[in-house]
Amino acid sequence: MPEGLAVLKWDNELGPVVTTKTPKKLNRGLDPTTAMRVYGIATMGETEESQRPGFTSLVLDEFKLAVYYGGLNNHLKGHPSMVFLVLELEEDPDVYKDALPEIATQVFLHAEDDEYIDMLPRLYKQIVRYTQMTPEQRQVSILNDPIRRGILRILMRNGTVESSELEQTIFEEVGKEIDADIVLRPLVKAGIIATGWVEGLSSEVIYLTRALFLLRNVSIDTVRAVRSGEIPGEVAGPFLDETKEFHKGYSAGLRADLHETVWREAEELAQHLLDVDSYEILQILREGPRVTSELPKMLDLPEAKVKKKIRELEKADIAVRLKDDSGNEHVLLKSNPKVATVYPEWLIQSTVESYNEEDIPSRQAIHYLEVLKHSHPTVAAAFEVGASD
Amino acid sequence: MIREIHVFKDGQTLFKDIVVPNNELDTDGVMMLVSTSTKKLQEWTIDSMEIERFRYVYMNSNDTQFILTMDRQSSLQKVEEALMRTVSKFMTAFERDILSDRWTSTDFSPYGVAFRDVVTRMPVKVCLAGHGGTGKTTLLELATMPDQAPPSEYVPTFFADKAFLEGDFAPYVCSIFDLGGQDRFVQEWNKIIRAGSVVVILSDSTEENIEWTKRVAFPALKADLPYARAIAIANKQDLPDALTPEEVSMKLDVPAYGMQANNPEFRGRWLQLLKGLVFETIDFRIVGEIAGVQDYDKLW
Repeated sequence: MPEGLAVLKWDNELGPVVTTKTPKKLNRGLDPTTAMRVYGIATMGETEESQRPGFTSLVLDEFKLAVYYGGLNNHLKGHPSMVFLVLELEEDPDVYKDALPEIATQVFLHAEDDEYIDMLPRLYKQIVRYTQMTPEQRQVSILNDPIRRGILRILMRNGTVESSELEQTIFEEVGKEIDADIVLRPLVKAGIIATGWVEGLSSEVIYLTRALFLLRNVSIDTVRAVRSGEIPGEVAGPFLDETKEFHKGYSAGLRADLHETVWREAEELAQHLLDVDSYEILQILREGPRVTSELPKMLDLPEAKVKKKIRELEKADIAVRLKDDSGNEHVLLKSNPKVATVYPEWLIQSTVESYNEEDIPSRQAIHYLEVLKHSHPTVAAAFEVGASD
Repeated sequence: MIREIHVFKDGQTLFKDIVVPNNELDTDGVMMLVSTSTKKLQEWTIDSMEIERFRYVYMNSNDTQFILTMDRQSSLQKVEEALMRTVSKFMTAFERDILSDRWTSTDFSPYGVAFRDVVTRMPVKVCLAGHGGTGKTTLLELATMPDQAPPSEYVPTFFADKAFLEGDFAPYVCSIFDLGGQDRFVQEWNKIIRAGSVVVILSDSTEENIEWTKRVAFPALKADLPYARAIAIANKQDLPDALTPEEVSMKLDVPAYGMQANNPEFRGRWLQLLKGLVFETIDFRIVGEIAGVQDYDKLW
């Protein structure tokens, strides 16, 4: 368990300054000498990479630090630019290398009017929870953030965009000024986007390399269990009817307006997948139907809480409750949320069209087509084979 | 660092406090020019102008013009905050007088205490620059940790160190940055030295060090602190082959002062030099006016 979390900014007259910390009594690692050293380590070098947001860890005599630097832009503007996670010596900072960038990004995005100061205790609690997240939940957490959802939405439509244009669009759509570099770094790390410079363009260009979807599947294991007679017939029939009807409507929605349906769903489903209790219930239901009364013991949760969470899942069309003739309530998975990254094949043709119609600079289009070529699953697989040889 | 404040109304000076006088410009003439611009500003709007190494930051409130004179290197955001604080404090105390006719006979001098408090809140940034091993950390500790014995071995400073110095500098406090002097750190100075008002260039009083300072340190300092004022410290004067302060001064084109940073007896002299540089009572050089490497031949 970390000892605490602190946010620092660079003050031209004072050097590193702690702007907020939690718990309030946290002092380790925040002395001026350590803070100055960390700024040095994080920013050293003249290369472009050294001045960008990034994760670093340090081992000191009595403690360790996991640090996320917000980039030279934030640093020199005097905005919050460093987030310290203070750890005991026996802890491994790398455990936090996915969680800390997520938390730090939230801090940097809420720097205006010092909003992040009130948020910090909650973010600190989330850090530990984040380390316990499954890979599926980590991908979902990207879709839970309205800004990154907005970015993916733009990129899944256009494929490539200049970072300055992206900042402007996000400002118009989400009403927030962002530093694209800060928001995008975790997406680069996750292999979802790539960035690069194109001659003649004044800002960096962003490219989508993998699309990220949150969709609903039919739960095969549930249907199989229902068909094999694991639950009473008076429950099985209505379940299959209701599920079939629901998926028919869902598929029709996807066909009618894929983008609108996908993004509306992503926002709603993400909340349930990131809720600890709801997610545990979902994981159990993914294995097969259950009688509601079994769940409190399995989850080690009060009955009222379990019922509340099931009702929420039911309202979101993820679960369904049905009673058998003996009065037992069965809970089954009506739709199985599924997060998937997909190679954006459709953007090859649309980029060629954009090139032909000169909607985007020709160099940008050509560069994106090269990026798509290199990130194509067959090429990426060939690289992996080559690497293992 | 805040140097002066002038408050005008209807062409009359209500209040002025000059902490460090400007001996290079005609202050009355400059104030007339700046106050004319100030009058045109909307209420609570801040603007600024730079003349040579000075920055004038001004605001108009209740038809009263407030002008702060700063070192040009000061960070504009901090200066604007300082001006807002200055005007708020003034108006809290004197708004009724300003809005009535009483201001013509009001004694505004008690405001001096509040203004000096604003000055204190904005530290004077001092940068100790020089090659590794010239004594920057020793000099920092000599000033800020007088009870500590001088370091017995050389440990290169990583990136930078920083310490506060509250001494006989009122109303100023100094924020002293000891810049890592190894070559790999000099390229990082631009991330640290912004808003520096004064630079103390450390030399170990050897020919080699002076060559390094001219070749490596000066370009870095000139790029980011062209309007800062600088002196050189000819350190290690106890060593047998040390160049004299006069020689160091001549070779660097910066007034140099002799020092033995590892000798606690030199603390008083060091603090006096620092105070003299902050208050501009000793000979100094503006960083941007120091001769470049290509100009040194012309000096001889």
